[in-house]
Amino acid sequence: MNMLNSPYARSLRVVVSAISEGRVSLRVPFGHHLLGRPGFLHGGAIAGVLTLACDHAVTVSVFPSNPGCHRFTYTVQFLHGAREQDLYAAATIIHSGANSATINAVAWQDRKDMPIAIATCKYLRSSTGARESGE
Amino acid sequence: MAPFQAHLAGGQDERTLADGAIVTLLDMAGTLSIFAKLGRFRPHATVELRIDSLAVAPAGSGILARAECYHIASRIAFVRGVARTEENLEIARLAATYMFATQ
Repeated sequence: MNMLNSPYARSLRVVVSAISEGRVSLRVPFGHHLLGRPGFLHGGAIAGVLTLACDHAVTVSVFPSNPGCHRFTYTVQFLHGAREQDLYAAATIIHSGANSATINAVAWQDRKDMPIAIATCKYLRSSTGARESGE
Repeated sequence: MAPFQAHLAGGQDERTLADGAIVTLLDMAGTLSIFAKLGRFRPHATVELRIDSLAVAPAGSGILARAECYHIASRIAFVRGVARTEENLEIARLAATYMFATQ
């Protein structure tokens, strides 16, 4: 399973720039489909990219044999506006346990020391391999 | 409300709606709830949002997001929201803060 081949990821035009031990890096070329208020990328698109980076890190590094794991909660902090430029995102595995994992991701543009947004995603490994429906 | 479109598929697999589509809709609803509370446009930016995923949204379903701005301080607006499928299945909850642009 590769989340980055999903229709949603393809519609954002996300590409993998690097994968190393415990870390996934993505690049999103600038496009007008990413814009929110004039001149700035939409927060939802940024959050979408950050969660894709975390999901991909979990898929390739943490629970590769268990595609049923799911992200049950996440937070995104927006630090400053994203301009009409390429966006980069990198996800790092913070903690990986038997049943759960915590992944952090950071998004930046031309300066890596000036992050656009950071996210923390929490995952639960599903024993059945499938996510429970809302009951 | 966002109707389903094929390019929004791909959360955990292609039979589900991508979470990025849900957070985008909730963030948009949160923004509009601030305008509704104020009764006017006032520019602001999302500071932080938290999404709790309650259930998976099947691909093909439209999503309804409802957000309420429950408090406005001098420069910060506090918002909560919920996203449901058209079948009224609750799929995500939002808690978010927004900061107003300095005049």
